[in-house]
Amino acid sequence: MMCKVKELKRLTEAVVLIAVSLMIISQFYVVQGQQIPREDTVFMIGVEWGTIRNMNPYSGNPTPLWGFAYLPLFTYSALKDVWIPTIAERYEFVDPRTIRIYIRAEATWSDGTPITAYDVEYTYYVTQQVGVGPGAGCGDYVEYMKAVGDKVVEARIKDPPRNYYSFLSCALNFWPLPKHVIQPIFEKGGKDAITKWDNVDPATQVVSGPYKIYYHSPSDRIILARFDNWWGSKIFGIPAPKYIAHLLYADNPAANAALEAGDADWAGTFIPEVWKLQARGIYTWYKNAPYYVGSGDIFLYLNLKRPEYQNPAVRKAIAYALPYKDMLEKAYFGYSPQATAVAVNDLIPAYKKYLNSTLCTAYGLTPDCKFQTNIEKAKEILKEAGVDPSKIHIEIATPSGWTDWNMMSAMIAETLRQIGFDASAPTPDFSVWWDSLTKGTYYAVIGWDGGIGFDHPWGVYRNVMDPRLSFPTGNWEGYKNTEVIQYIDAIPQLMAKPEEQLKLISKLQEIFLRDLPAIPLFYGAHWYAYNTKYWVGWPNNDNPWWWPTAPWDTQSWPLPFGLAKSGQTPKVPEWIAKLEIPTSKIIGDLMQTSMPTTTTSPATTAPPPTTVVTTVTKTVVVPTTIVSTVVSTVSSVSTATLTATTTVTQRVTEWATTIAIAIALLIIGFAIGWITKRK
Amino acid sequence: MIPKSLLKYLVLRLTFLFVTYIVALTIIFILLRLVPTNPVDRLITQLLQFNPNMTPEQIREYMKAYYELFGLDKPLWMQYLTYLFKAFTGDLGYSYINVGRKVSDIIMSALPWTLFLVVPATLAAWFVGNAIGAYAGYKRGSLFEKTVLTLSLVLSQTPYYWLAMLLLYAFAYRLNVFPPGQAYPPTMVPNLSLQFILAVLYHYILPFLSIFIAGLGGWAIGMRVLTIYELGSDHIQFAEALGAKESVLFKYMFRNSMIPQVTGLALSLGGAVGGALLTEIVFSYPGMGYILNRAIIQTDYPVVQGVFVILIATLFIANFVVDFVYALIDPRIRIGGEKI
Repeated sequence: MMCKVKELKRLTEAVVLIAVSLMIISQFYVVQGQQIPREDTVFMIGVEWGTIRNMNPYSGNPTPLWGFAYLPLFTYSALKDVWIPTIAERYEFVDPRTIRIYIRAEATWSDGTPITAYDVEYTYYVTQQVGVGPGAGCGDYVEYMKAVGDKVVEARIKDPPRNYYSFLSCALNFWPLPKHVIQPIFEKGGKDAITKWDNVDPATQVVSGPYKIYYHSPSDRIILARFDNWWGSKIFGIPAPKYIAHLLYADNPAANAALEAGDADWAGTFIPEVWKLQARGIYTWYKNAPYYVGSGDIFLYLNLKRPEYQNPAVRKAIAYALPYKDMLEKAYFGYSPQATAVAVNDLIPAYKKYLNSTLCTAYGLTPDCKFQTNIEKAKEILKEAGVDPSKIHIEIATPSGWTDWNMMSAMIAETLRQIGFDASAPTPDFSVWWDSLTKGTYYAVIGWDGGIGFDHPWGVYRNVMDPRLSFPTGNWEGYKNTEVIQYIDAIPQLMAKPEEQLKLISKLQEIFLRDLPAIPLFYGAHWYAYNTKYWVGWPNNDNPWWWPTAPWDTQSWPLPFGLAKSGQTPKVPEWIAKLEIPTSKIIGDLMQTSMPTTTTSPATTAPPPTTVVTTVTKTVVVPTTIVSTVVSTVSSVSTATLTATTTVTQRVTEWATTIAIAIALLIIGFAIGWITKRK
Repeated sequence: MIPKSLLKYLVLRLTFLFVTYIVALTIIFILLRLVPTNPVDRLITQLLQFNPNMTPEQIREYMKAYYELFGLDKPLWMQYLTYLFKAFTGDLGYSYINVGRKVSDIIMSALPWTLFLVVPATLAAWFVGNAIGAYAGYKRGSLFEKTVLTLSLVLSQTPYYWLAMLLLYAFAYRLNVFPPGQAYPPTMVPNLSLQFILAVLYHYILPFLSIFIAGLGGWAIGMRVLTIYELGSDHIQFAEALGAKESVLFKYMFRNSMIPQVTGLALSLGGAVGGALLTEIVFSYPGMGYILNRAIIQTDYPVVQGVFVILIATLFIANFVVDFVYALIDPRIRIGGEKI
């Protein structure tokens, strides 16, 4: 009997052991040992969390790393406001409504097939069928995009709305995919098949860029390998890094720890107190504040459905009361300057022309168009308007776990209470927060808006003020002024008439300052940090040879071309300066093709010359919060060291006393046991 | 041949299990959808944060595409039925947040880690706990027994995740003896080299210890009580009177006390698939619990549903198996059953 049980036990043990070992081993059998040399690889962090996504833009959520494998027709840099012909060689305006794009003769896919206009046409066609993919949402602005020759793509603007911003962005900033790869998938399985396609098989992936998939494990890492026989080697050269890799880290602090240790080179994460890392050779774009180039505008949105917020005086008073400097230094580590009150990004030199000092000072702003914190003035405005702040209840809600926003809203609430508002700053769960926005039951939130791009600042104004939009596509606050519609529609049509365009933009700015539907706070930072331990030549403010630079931006693909191994001298790629086409040249070309104009009044929306207004809706990536879709344990570490005007308490455990008490209790326990035993 | 009564019993049990299973799956389905937002909102947020230049038209298109992709545009009852059918055919669907990735792939990549962590730790805790408990029960009245009793009581009531955090803080952060988490160093790629296996074991120690120590107490107490009970039984006293050796007595007593413990073990292992969820989160151990936690936060319905499908099934199977293990181990039950 006993033996049977023992045998059974042993058998069970053995079986369990074998089963478990098999399960573990089986996982590894599938994986080949991948050893890539550290000094030939650029490791990035901050792009993928939780799982490595696929490389198929039709899936709706691909990894931005596909931007290294697939190149666009033209690449756009917002900082320099230039376009680089990449797969395309040049463009031509056939007439003011039609553009022709000529693809380079040498352009070929990695399997040798030439890149043709049919690839462009088909890629666009599939996007129209699926809804997502390259050129998504372009159907409203582009009449057609088709091949008129092997290497010639023709695109025509849709009129109405004759929006040149979107039209040019759709046509120039377009990423073609290989038709001979996607056509069989789409024709056989339709929408379902093309959206579920992974495109991560090294044996079958066909790319247009210098890097190709080498290894992909959704739970672990992705590695891209350089494709040396790349078609662009004569034009663009060959990038120095042989491999680009991204490992999965559990959370933000873990990824940042890897950067500090030198295990990662290129970071797109939020890093608290990043200036302290300069001693280790880790730098950001600027050596001093604000360290990062700002991208999207972050606003304080007040729910204009609520009658108490509908008086512009209330909003203006709040705008004067906000503690901008404190907020950004303490909650955001100084990673962004205060945003201009007209929502124009003043960090980019190209946009400075949209700042009108006279207009700003007339509306009580500083000459560089910013609100200056002035509590007295805020109180005055309220008194003049006859508003009693104690009757107004404001809750500035931010999702729990987004600690920088949480802290900011707490500081805002505190100052608002100083003026007399009944203010608080709750931090509900993300789903509750989002739901309150969808249902319109919120009071106030901190939220994001459009980013910088070809169409700045029109894009921002449209997103914030267009009454035809609603959450989440735009107009989060519910502004209902139809007066702006004419300007919003007219501006994109006046691309070839920059002076008139500027006039209309000023008009919009005036309305914005008059009504202040939302209060611009700061710019969401374009997270970019680099480690010079293994690679040098990174672009920064002293050497701004390229931007965007964040690893999660699909247009940061030129970066590896300017890198060199640490110890060697890096060279800025000469083709950038050689090939770049400033936006003004495109506007100039458009103006030349447009017919001489008859008089046009600024307010009309249909001038005879079809001025091509182009907006580049770039894929500028701006994670404005520490936590995007990462487990919320991340953020709690970073802000614990700050104690500002907020009520952030920190508990310090008294180790000495605790241990002493524990030992004392143990001894007492033993003593009792021994005494009772004796009895 | 299987006796008719046993057959009837089996069929009844299976039907009951089946019904309970469907009820459990339904509850999961409903609970997930009670949350105000849906996965599309999260995906849109993610997109907006990384692409602030998305035009309103693009956002609209993406939302539409996502709703269609996830079948969220179909009426709720249709979603429910599809979900049930698919669960039974083994098609757990595709993840919402990690679009295009099969749920079964996600689970299969996490399951081995969970089993690797929880099964040996539970078994070790069981063996050692039982041994200590039995010996303590045998040596009743001694200082050893009293110490064991107190310690086990404390340990059994300690939340295992708190113990995990303590261990992590003490050994990984303060003393820097062990790594602060994950299954293997991020610079290594899974392969069968000795270096990798050693690294895995090195990362394994702290999570293993946290489950081991926390589980130890419970088993020890239970075993102690059972052995004390056995010691009072007739056959032990008779053997003692006959002058049998200590080891013989110990063996008799141990075997008889085992039965409830085996049940407990089977149930414990059955729940192992769920993973020591909090332990995995504390140590960032890429197992089922970790995946489940992340999926819930991201409202990734199919992954949560998939994990629960497997979890509930395993628990039920474990339950089911326990009955038979009982019969195997305890001849009294076997004989008694035959009499019917």
